[in-house]
Amino acid sequence: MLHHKARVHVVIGKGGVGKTVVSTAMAMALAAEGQKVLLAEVNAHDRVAALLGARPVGANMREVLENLWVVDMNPTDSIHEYALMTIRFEAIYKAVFENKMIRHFIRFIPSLGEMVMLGKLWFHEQEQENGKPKYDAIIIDAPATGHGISMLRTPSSIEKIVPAGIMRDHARSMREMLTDPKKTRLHIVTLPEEMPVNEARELEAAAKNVLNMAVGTTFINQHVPELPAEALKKLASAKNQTDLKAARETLNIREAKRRAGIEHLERLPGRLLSDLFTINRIVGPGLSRQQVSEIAQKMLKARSQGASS
Amino acid sequence: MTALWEGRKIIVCAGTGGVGKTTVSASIAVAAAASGLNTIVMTIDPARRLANALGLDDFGNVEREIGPEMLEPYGVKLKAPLHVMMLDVKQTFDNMIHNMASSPEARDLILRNKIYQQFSTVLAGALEYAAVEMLYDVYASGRYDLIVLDTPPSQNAIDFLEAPSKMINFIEQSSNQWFLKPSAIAGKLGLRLLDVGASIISKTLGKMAGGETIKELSQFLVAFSDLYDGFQKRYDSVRSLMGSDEVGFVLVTSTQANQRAAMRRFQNDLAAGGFKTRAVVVNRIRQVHYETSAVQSVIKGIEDPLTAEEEAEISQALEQEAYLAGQDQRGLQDLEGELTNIPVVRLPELRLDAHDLESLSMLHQSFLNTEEPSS
Repeated sequence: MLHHKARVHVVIGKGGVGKTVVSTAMAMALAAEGQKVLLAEVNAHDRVAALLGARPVGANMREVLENLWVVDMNPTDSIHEYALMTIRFEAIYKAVFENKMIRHFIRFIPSLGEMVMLGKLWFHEQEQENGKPKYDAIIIDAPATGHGISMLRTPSSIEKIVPAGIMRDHARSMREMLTDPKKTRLHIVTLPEEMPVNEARELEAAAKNVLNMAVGTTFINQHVPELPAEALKKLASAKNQTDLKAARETLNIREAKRRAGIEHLERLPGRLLSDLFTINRIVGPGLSRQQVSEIAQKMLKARSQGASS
Repeated sequence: MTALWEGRKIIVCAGTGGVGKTTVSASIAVAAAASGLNTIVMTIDPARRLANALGLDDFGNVEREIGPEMLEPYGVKLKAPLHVMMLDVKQTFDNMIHNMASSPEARDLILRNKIYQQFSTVLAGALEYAAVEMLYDVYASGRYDLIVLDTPPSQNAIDFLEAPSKMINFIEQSSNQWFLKPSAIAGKLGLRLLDVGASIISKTLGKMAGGETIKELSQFLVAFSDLYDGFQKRYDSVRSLMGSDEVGFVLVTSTQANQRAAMRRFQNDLAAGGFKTRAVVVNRIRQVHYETSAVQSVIKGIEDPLTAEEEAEISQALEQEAYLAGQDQRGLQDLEGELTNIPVVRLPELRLDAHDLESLSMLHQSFLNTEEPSS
């Protein structure tokens, strides 16, 4: 997992496949290795903080665990930050960006807010402390497929419409960061089910044809382990079938679904299969910090094995 | 027997993402066509799920017939034609501008605007607007007995109904801000917009984004304002159609607590807006028919005994499946307790992935007999 030197990790996939869990576990794993990690959510109501049992962070970045900083970006605050960096005067910012019309326009064309959120990440990627990068890794828990793709292509759209100037320079820097395989990887999260696999395929194609981004690790979430075939056979040949019938039916459905899931995963493009990380399905009420940390432990193990092999 | 669509011309399926809305929409359409209604199902989903479920390749804004031979192998006999249409947002938007612009010049001004070209498909509400636009067109054509609309996933049921008014608002606010009156659109007023070059706003934005961009932006706003009357008219017609008795909303949910909460919010939004919820569809309800501890003890006694390891794995699987089914049953009960006067359609989780024609055929009968609310 993550066997490359990229520092910017964009985690993307269909809605509900577990992007936040993967991003959080990845951040915990890298932080446990001693890396300084920034984990950024996009307008996500502080889901990471909730998962870690921490109080909300909002738009003000905070070190939530040792070496792990979390921020939940939103367009309004990011635009404020960005504008102040460029124009330097709060009074001018207020006159311009608190203008009703401008606020309205930003809401109407969400891409402007998205570009500025990417800009914030680009800024932190560039940020230095004591002569070296402030963060060793920046993880972005991206919006779901369609919205995520449109966010990631915002810099190149802006480059096309904006004439030479500060904004175009910034857009170009962001585009260059995202499209440099040594700097940025797109990690796709999916489930062993039809639609999440379709969207993973769509994302892979978009990475190649639209975004020009390098893919990294593919995360298969909610994997259901195979039941021992021998045991199922023994149950099938047992004499007392009346009491076992319903149970066998359920187990068979579970196995059939698992096999169908594997067939779907086989439709993933080859280059998504070369770097896989699988996470077992967790059954129970909600996901605890402990469970996320267990996933992080497995990631750490996979990384140390990958490094030695 | 009262079918879900009885007395309706339009069924709108709404719900958050990931609840199987598209599958439900397609199953309703299959059921209606099988019972003799000339039906079309329209989807707007950007991930093109329905195309997948129907085994069709990429297509946009075209009414395609699903031949009866496609469903026959699964035991469904269509008594009337079944059509499907996938929306292409960009195409719909461009068409709309063709139709609504007051002159060819105004039309070209928008279509050629760089901001429009780059951002029209991601404009807030563009997706939703396109759905409403196509729905109304197809409805007005009178070609179908029933239209089933699969709405884009959203956090708010009436997002898509409000899309035209968002556009109207945008134009109004933009215009007021720049001291324009929507009634006096087009032509010479554009000059005034470009006049604001001296203001701090355009100076600052110009410094950040370049003067040309501000010009494009102004042009875009002026040109877009030209569509005001069109948006207003369309909004009025859509609003009154959607609130009429011809339209029934179907809220699709799963038994999960967060989805149920979202469904309740949808329902309140609809009621507040004067729209009628026809039914709530609870999708993918898991079920088991065994008592875990009883099965576990039976397993201990079988002739060819399981190894300790096998037994542990089987036991855990049985517990997990029972837990998941129990979770769904509790969710379903909570949901039914919360709902009054709205019929609930329960759909089981299917044996196979619920996205192919067989699944549609397995689900479609659930919609044939939907009780009317008791009061």
